This record gives sequence, C-alpha cells and structure tokens, in this order.
Amino acid sequence: MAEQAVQSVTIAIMSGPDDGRKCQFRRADGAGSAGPNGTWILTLGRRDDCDLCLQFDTQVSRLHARLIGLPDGGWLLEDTGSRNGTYVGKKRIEGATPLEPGTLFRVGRTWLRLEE
Amino acid sequence: MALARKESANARHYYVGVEHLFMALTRLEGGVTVGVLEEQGLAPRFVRYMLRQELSQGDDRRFWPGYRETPRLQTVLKLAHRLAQERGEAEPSERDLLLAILREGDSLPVRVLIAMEADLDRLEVVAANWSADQRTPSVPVPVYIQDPGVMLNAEELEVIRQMFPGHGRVVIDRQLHGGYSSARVLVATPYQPDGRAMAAVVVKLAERQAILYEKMRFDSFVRDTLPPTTARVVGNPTLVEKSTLGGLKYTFIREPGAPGPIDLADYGRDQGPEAMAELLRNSLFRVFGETWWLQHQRYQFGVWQEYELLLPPALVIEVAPEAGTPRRRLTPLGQWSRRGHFERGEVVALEGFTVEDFYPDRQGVQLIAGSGADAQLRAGKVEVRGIPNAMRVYHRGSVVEQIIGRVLYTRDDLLFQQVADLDPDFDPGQERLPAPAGFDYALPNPLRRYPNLLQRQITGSLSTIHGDLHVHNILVGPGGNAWLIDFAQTREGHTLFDWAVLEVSLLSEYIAPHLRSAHWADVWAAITLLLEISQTRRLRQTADSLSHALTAIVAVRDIVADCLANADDWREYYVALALCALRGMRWAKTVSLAGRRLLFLTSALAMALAMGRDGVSASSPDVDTTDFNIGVTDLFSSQRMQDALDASDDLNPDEGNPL
Repeated sequence: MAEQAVQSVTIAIMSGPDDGRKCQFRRADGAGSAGPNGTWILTLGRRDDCDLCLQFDTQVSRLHARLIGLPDGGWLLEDTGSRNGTYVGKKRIEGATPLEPGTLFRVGRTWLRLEE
Repeated sequence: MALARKESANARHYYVGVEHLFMALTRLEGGVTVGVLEEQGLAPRFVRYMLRQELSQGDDRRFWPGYRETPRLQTVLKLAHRLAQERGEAEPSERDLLLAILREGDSLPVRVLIAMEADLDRLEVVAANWSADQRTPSVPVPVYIQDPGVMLNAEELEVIRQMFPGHGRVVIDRQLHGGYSSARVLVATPYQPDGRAMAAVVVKLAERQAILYEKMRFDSFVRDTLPPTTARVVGNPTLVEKSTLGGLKYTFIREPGAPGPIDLADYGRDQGPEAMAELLRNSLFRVFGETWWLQHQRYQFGVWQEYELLLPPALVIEVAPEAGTPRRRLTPLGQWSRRGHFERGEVVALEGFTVEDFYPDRQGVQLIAGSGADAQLRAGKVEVRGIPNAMRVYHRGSVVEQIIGRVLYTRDDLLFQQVADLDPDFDPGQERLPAPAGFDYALPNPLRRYPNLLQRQITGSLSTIHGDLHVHNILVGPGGNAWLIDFAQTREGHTLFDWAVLEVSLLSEYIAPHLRSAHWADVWAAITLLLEISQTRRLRQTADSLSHALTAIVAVRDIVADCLANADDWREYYVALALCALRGMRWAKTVSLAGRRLLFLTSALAMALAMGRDGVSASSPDVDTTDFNIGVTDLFSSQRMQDALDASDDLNPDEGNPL
C-alpha cells in the first residue's frame, strides 16, 4: 500500500518575480522529509532550508506552510502558524486541507500550483 | 518593454512580469489589445484595475539591480519572437506579444480575464485577424433624452454611449433620482440598429471608484444571494479613458409595455403608507431576508466599528510641515478619533493613513484608515487641507507616511456647525434638550452624548447588509416586486444598520413633508408619535396625515423586531438609529430644514432609548459598563437622566498617543 505514496511532485510558481518557475521534488533525491504513516512532507517558507524557498516575498513567514503527500497519492496543505496565512483560492485555510493538483494556492503574496 | 518596465516601477515591483507587459499593451490607444478587449465589452481601464487588485504593491526592498524578467515573461517573449519570425519580421509586434500571452495561457492577466468571463478563444481569433483599418470607425451611438427634467453633461453622455456599443440609439426614459451622492440612476431603453426596442435597463453613473467598488461588492456579496425576480448588475463596468466617471448596468425582467420601476419614495407618495409597509414586509424583507438580514450571526462589536464612518471626519487639519514638534502622533483606528480632546491650532502628526478622496475646491484630501476596497467603510477619517495639486501628489489608495499639521476643526466643531444651521431654539452646548410643553421628558443632547455611544460594546447580529438602504435604492417593479440597486457599500455588517438607514431616510423624505411646518414645536409633535411607536410598536390613531405617514415606520420596527440579537432588547437598534440620524445633519443640500430638525430630535430620542431598557424583561449579556440599568419610564425622570449622564462621563479617560 505504502508503495503508492507520491514519489515526486512539481510546484509551479504562479506570480511574483519567479512567476513561471517550476520546481521539481523527488523523494528519491532526498527532497523533503518522511512524516508519520508513510507521508512525505515538503516545507514552504522564506528560510533557506525550506524545501521551497520563497526568499523574495516579504509576506512569507520563515516557515510558512507544509505540503503533506499522503500514501493514497493525495495532498494536504497545512499552514504552520504563518503571519499572513495560507489560502486555497480565496479561502484562508485552517488545519490541514486537501489540495488538488491544478488548484491555485497562495502563501504570502505568492501564488503556487501543484502540477498534475 | 519600456512601458512594461514603467508599469512595474509604478507598482514598486522590481521585476517585470507578463502582467506588466499586458498592462502596457492595454495602454496603447488604437492598438490591437484595446480593440479586442473593447470588442468584448471589456474596458481596458477596468481590466487594469482588476489586475492591480490581484497585484499588491511591492515593498521598497530590492533584491537585485535593475529589472529582472520573470521566467514566464521569458517564455512569452520567446513565443512572440517565434510568431514574428513566422511573419518574416525580426521584432515582435504588439499583436505577437498579445497572442503569445493568450497562448501561454497561464499568466496572471489571463487568469484575471477568465475571472472576468472573457472569451479567450474569441480574443485570440479576433486578435489574429485584427487589422487597424478593419476596425470600423465607431459611430457614436445617439442618445435621446425623453424626460425633459434630465440634463446630461458631455462626460455622462460619453459613458452612456460607450455602455451601449453597436446599438442604433439609446433613449433615456426617466431619472430615478441620484440618492445622496453625486451618482445618477436612469432608466434607459436601448434600440437595435434596425430600430427594434430592447429590454430597458437601469443605468448608474457615478464616480469611477464607486462604480468599481459596487461591481466588486456585487460579485462578492450579492450575485449569488438574489431572488430571481430582481434587478442585477450585468456585464462589467464601463470606464472611459480620461474621465473620472464610470457606468454600470442593471437589467430587470419587464413585461412588454409595462411601466418601468419607480423608487420607494415615489411609490409611497402614489400608493400611501400601507402599500409601502406591505412592500417592505412582504416583498423586501421576506424575499431578501433569507440570504441577507436573517443570516443571524451573533457578534460583539464596538459601536464605533460600524457607525463612526457615518460621522464627520475626526479632525480637519491644515498642513504645516514647519510647525514644530507635534504633540501627538495619530495612527489609523486609534482611540484618539473618539476620545482625544483636541485644541484648535494644536500640532499633530498623522502616520500611515490612506488617501481616499480629494476636495480640489479647498485643496483638501480625505484620509482613511487601512487600505483596499473596504477601507472606506472603516472608522477614523481625517481631512487634510492645504495641499495644492493634491491629485498630482497623491493618488487614491496611496499610503501617506507622515503629515504634520495644525488642527483646524474637530468633529465636535463640524457637528456643532451643522446643528447651528438648524437654527436651534436651545443652546447646542447644553446637556439636555428643553422639551416643549406637552412632552414630559427630557432628552439628551446628541452632540454631547454621541462619543459615549461610539465607545459602547454591544452584542448584535452580523449579516450581509446593503449598506445604503435608503428610499431611492429600493425600486418597485411591475407586479410589486422590490428590487435593490446600488451595492457600493454592501458588506458583512451590523444587520440593523440597514433598517436604521431606511428609517432615517423615510423620516427625512417621506414623513417630514407631513409636518405642519418646520417649526420646532411641529417637529416635536412627530417625536411624541415616534416615542409612542417606540414604546408600544404601534399608533393609537392614524387619522391625521402625519400619523398616517408614520405607519411606514411601524413597518420598519416590525422588521427590526425580527432582526434583534436579543429579542426585546431594542437598545441595539436605538444605538444604530441615533447615529444614523445624526449623520443626516450634514445633508443640508438634499434634506429640508424640517427633515434635518426631525432627524436631530430623532437622534436625541433614540439616544435616550438606547441608554434605557425599553421593554426589557430579562437582563442580557451585552450590557457593558457604559450601559445604564434603568427602565425607560425612570429614564425620563430628570434625576435619573442626570445620574445616567454623570455616570457615563467617568468612563472616558482621555487617551492620545503622546510622543
């Protein structure tokens, strides 16, 4: 079962100075970290050691949010106590929220998207 | 690309993206981009506005020298170069750039166009086949005015023409009044080029910013909450380049040949107060209530948060940069706007306010707290005078880091002046209003009591509210359906705000003409009846025309009864009514003297009732320390009144923001 877990993902930056950049993460290359129950965790923030580092957006917190890859192949997005919040579409999220590939989400001023 | 860089610099973005390129293209007059957007009824100016809403202003930090292109812009430019090469050209044309943006398909401007319901495929086809000479020279649509009472200036005519592109002609049937602002609301019938009449529409012309707010609020609060039989905003706003005016269209369903809508004021005059009451209860409240006012959501709020915006600016200051060290530093939403006692001539510094409006006639700028579309609804306005060419120095929405100036007037000064214009037969500085013989109670002077009211905390209901529910914004269509227009202030807010606004508007426009005269004694006669309605929710007799007209107010109070957060605790409403009525003092141009006097005394009566416990049985949790636990009958005994007034004075320690 756990073999089905997501092994790689591409995050597209959809606004700001890096608009159009695509960042690919592969579990096999050591990106992210292993979470409980076979999950895969990618961190988003302004800090250098975040998996996706958004250093040009001053409204992004140092550790802003994380993406959780589930064993069933789905994704959760979770705010990690950021100052300006994390949004899926226009809605600010509270708690871990399912995230479909192709849906725009925003940390700070930066829009992002999981590529299908 | 130079233009795109300029767009970027204007927004203080230190990078150049597809959005900047696109904005630059929409500024090329006579170009393909402008042409294809207009072909779909999208004003380039409105598209830029929507794009800017998505793009917040950048900050001053720069992470690299010069302007960096985003990866997506590079992709788009590559695409455009390829298109140019296919045509045998070295450099991409405007059309190549536009097509590249549309084909890349993933950029912010494309997302905004999709959100605006633009047809992207069609944009691309029209752009691909565009040629400058193919553009039919636009013949101005003739506008005929049927109503001899309506005069339109050249700017207004131009907006109307652009609202109906490709039509044979437009006939302005009627003016439905402009409300209290400078906006105009008209009923217009467009005709096709072959002469066939199309469905009439309601056309609203107003200052550009108001039109934009209205469209945004309509989309976020109204669109999905309307009953099927009402007017709705159609299409996107029409904005004319180089004009401060904009236009918006409302459509409605009309039987052929049936008369167009009339507003509630006219309806009341034609049909009488019973019909008006019936309309308010059954067509308006019952139909819209479900998705609007009846969405009770309890919340606790400081009265100032919902009502301070109705009052004059907290301060009027005159710029004086060399005036020396300011005594106080004022920041948005501080307590100073309600509790600070200011001396005229005192030097203050304002920090972090946003420019909302300009008053070129007095070299003035209105500053507000906060930024964005909702800022105009927030408390704590300040007017700054003495800025020549303010419109060139600032633009709407820009944040002013610091302004130092001297206090010219305080809010008290402005209110006292407005009340002095009513030619009062009492001293506007005293604590209580002397009641005439026959009115056995003393009422507090609103000018002295309003700051306490603003400081109160109350528990109320939060819901979607119209935000400006006066008699000219309620239209009555054929079949007796109530329609609402003018959603420029629509928001989540205090439910009773709407009904207090409506009561005030009925009093000033519908009831006041029934007063025997504008004499204070005749105004007090109406207040006696209003007290009776407040105490018993009805009138003993309605034989004379004044009492008869006041049955419309009984209908409003019936609706209020259904909206109270705590059944039977009417103070929640009287607070709203007192402050809404006090706002009316500034309507010297639009409301008669009798009407403004009536509103002043209504404010006084509502303040007395707001301090008492009218008809309350159980104690409610929303009583804070500034409330008074006394019954309404006690309240009017002068000793209890005096005690109450004294008690409330202890609660206002003066707090400024000393430097």
